[in-house]
Amino acid sequence: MNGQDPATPKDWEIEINALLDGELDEASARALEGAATEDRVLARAIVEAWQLHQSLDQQRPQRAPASLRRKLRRIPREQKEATGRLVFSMPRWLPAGGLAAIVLVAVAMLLNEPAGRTVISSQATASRSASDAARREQTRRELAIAFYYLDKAGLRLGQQIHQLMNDELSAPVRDELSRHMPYVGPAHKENNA
Amino acid sequence: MSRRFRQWVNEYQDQAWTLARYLLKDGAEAEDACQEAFVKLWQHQDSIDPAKIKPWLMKVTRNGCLDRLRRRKPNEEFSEQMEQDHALGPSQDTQQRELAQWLRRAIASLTEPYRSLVVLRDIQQHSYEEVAVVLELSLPQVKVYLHRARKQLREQLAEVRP
Repeated sequence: MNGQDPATPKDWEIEINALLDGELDEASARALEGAATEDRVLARAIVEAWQLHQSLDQQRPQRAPASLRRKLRRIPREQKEATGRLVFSMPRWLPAGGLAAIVLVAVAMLLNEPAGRTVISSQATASRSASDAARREQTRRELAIAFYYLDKAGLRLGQQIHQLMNDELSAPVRDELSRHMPYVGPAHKENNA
Repeated sequence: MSRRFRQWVNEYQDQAWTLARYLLKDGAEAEDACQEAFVKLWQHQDSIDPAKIKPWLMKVTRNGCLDRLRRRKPNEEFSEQMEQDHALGPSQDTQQRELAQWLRRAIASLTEPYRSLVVLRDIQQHSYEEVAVVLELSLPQVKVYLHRARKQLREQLAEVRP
């Protein structure tokens, strides 16, 4: 810290902190000690740093209050209950019903032609292409899958269809279904009833 | 899973609490911040390296505290309550008690990241590497900032000491 010392005050600061952290090598420690014997300001800085270090050492982590300890202990149970409630609150048919609904919507879109006419009306025309037949077959399969899921899920078919599609879309689905599928399972029967 | 979590709670609740307490200077908010951090720990426990739980938790606790500080109104002040909450035991003599109180005030008056640095390194004795992870700083940055923080405290200490 004096004029003869090549180290700047900032350099000594680093040395002092390294000393406190126990990271100062022996040679550097000797150099610091030597400088401090000739520089009272540096010596005082080291003493104060040491005192601060001691004081901070006595500042142990505080004990968490009992109220917080109780809250933290309850976290596993509360989180499990919260997860359980989430699953329970979701209708059991929702995953399967949702899948079926997606299929139904896709089918309904397939059944509608761009101009608003349905496949059913185009079926009546003589110029029906081979690709339309393939598409109908695909439709029939997809409907079968959809109703399979609906039946498995115990979904009230008509109600769900009305929720998910408007009448314009659902009517072609039903018509197409009755045309291609003589029997589609209990859910369909329930709907018709 | 619960058993492992309970072990983490037992090991780290005091440290998380101390950090939150120093940062927020408000007991109720510090409790909430700690609870939120531990809930996050519960939710993410499977994706965290078990060897890094402590720095992860401290980081989440600190970030939660900083978020709360940012949401606070500028003039809100909680330091008085902190003084009361930090009351020392009767075994400590008056001089020690005064010094400890002064030190807590001085630490609380530091700006970030100095305050977190002193709490994590000098009070909670985390390694430099852990502190670097918690504060998202490089190791040299941690050392330099800690030097500055200690120097600030030392200068304040020199003013109050005879």
